[in-house]
Amino acid sequence: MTAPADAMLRRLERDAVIVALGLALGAVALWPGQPSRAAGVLGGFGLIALSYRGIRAGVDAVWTVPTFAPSGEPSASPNRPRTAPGGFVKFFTRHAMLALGAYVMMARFEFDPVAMLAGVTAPAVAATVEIVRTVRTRPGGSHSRSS
Amino acid sequence: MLKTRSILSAFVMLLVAGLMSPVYAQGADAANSALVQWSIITAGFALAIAAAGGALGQGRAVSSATEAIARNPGAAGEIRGALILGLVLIESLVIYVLLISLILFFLKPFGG
Repeated sequence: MTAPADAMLRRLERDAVIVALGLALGAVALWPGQPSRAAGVLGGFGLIALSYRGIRAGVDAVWTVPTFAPSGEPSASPNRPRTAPGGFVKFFTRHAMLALGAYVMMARFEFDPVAMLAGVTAPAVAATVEIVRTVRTRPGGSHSRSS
Repeated sequence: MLKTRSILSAFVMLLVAGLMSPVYAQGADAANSALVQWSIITAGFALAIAAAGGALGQGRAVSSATEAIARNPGAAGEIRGALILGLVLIESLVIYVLLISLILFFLKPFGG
């Protein structure tokens, strides 16, 4: 039952990683003498990844979706975190972790702030790609119309 | 009538802004210091507004998802995926503001 949603999230994660790596490589290619820009992209992506993990742990801790064995008995969901308290801790402390991480990256490591903003954008780009993919592959979409 | 009033209001605001300009005609250091102070105050307010807006948006998303799962438990998996995606996108906006506020707090692009 949870397979389509999990597959979508996995695709999003993969696309976001690809986008972030592409942006970092682009930063290296455009500004070879300034590694703080590529590091900033990866740092920003790290922040949003941290936030994503926290949100996902919290949602998984609240909504453990039951799956059903072939016999009809509910079985343990693959989404269930190992410990629900750990998921809640991640969920409720994520902003503190984000603020601390952003401060360390920006003020201590001197990552490029604009590059960090670009890194945070990676999941939004991945979501756009996923939406385009969904529109193109659904029955009324342009892809299926052309094929 | 409304359009004229809007244009007049904009003109009056422009005049008021022009009258305020002598305030900024002080020494460069004083003006810079005031700019830094205002940028820090703005960053604080921006962070507060972003946190409030993000919290409201995430609260609405969770509320709607809970209601949808209660109505149709069979779609819980898909709703959960959409919920996580929505929460992450809302969160990314809050992180934008967090980063911009940290830039204003620590890097001080306006000097100071």
